[in-house]
Amino acid sequence: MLQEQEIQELVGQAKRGNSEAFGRIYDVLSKPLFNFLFARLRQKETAEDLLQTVFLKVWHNLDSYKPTKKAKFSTWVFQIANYTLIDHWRTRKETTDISLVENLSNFALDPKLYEKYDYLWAALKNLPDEYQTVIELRFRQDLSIPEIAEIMDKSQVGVRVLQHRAIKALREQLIQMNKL
Amino acid sequence: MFGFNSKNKKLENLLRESRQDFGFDSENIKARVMMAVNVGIYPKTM
Repeated sequence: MLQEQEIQELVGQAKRGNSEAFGRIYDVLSKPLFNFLFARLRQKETAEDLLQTVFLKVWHNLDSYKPTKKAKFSTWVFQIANYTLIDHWRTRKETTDISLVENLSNFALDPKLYEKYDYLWAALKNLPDEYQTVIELRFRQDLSIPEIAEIMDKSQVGVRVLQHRAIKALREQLIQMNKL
Repeated sequence: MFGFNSKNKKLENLLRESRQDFGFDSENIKARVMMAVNVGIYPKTM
């Protein structure tokens, strides 16, 4: 993984129209972004389409990204990914056929690891969207509360409350499933 | 209270342990992105 300073250098080059530098940014961020999108959508093709959309939005809006000590580039990209997900659900969720939702184990790079925790994935699926998002960002992507606040456009206190409620709801799901 | 927090910590650790990488056609998506970037095509949703 590149250091933030190296990513900022690539961002600077990409802002000047260097598409090769943008390709390097893709190489660094595509895997964590895909994991996030796929975990939330559970459909490979849709997650791939949205990943493409996210990177094109990033390229198109590069000039509006202003680096600060607080705002890492990846945080800004995850914010775009989260808005893209919300847009996707707003326009298409009602028409999603639940039978089309894929079994994640088919795509896990380590199927044994997936099988060990499949009950957890099943429980997560039953939580409200925002609970799933905060859990993915905090515990799967290992992002900080300030970063998640930026991505989800909430206060840090709001994220802490959301995280607390999400964990509580997940515990209740697991108890119902006799897994806790 | 301690018991509740401790159980939450265990669940948080379980979530971290269950972190997964999923397979996708990275090179194909990259090719699609780079082609759109190089010819100036953007998604309709922007």
